[in-house]
Amino acid sequence: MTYDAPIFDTLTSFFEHNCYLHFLEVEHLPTKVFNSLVGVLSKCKTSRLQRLRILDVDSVEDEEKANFFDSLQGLHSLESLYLRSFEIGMKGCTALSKLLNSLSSNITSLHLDSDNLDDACIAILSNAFIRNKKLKMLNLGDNDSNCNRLGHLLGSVISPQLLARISFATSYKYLRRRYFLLGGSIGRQQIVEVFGPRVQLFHLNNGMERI
Amino acid sequence: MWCTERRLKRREQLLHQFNANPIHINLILIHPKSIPYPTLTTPLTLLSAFEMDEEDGARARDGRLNEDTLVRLQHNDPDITYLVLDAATWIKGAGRTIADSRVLRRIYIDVRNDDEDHKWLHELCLGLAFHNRAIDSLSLWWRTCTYDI
Repeated sequence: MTYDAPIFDTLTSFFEHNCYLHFLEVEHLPTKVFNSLVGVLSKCKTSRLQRLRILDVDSVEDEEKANFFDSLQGLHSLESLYLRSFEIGMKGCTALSKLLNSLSSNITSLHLDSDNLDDACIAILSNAFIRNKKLKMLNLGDNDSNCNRLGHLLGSVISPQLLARISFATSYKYLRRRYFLLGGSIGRQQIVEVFGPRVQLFHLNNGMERI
Repeated sequence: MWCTERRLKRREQLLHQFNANPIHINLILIHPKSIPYPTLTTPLTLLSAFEMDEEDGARARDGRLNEDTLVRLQHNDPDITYLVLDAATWIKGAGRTIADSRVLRRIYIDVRNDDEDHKWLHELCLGLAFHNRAIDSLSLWWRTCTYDI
């Protein structure tokens, strides 16, 4: 039997009043506990949470994941969102896109690691990536994707708007550099061909290579 | 080991160097005790700090609760900045001490389905909710145990 007390309900006051709480990491949460986290995030808009890591919560339904992204709306302090094995479906991706395109969102670092994104999800997210002006780091590592899926994404990413932003970014090399983390299905050469020398640093398969 | 005064002085020096000249520093390795996250402002710093989490997590696995650490927590020993908490090492009544600590910055909570009871978790959460306003990092690992028949 799984122990699944909604402990985040008890922690509401901690999230509301602890202005030092900047980092939260949860792993393998059962559905009930995950939903209690969503409830707290929805309520505590005064939280100063900057980095949120959600690991391996694949048992949670897509609709509940969509609720999770909705709960992050208005959380102005959040800068980094790390989702590993989160397995987002269409509803989740739509909610994530809405979050990324929200004016109140300040997310600059997004990790969608091992999330089994399918073509439809990639298409939804691609549009969000194009419109989003704040993301500086995007991790799509280990998505079990074939070249078509990531190719679709890359095709979207290299829109004229983003190229302009990359070009702008290079004049502030270190402070404004954009990072892209891609899985092993895209080769280094292919990245060079797509992006050219403008973006200097990529993470490939968790390694770091200068191009 | 540095004394607190020396550590604070070094922290100030590091912060001054970093904030004055962020472009020339590619990677700054941040020990969890050395610089609190609120002072890190540039994207590059946040990225570097982020990358340290994995190592911190591995290191933190050694920081189990015992009677010695509990006493040191009660006296706000600045060397106790993180703790790993689980049912096996829980000491009844520790929730209030942990919550009242002014030096504890990170806690890692390890919950297992096969723990006999989870009163310790409830005690910890109540303490945090009503007394703690100092912790900046919270990790919650929820582990499901399966057995081969």
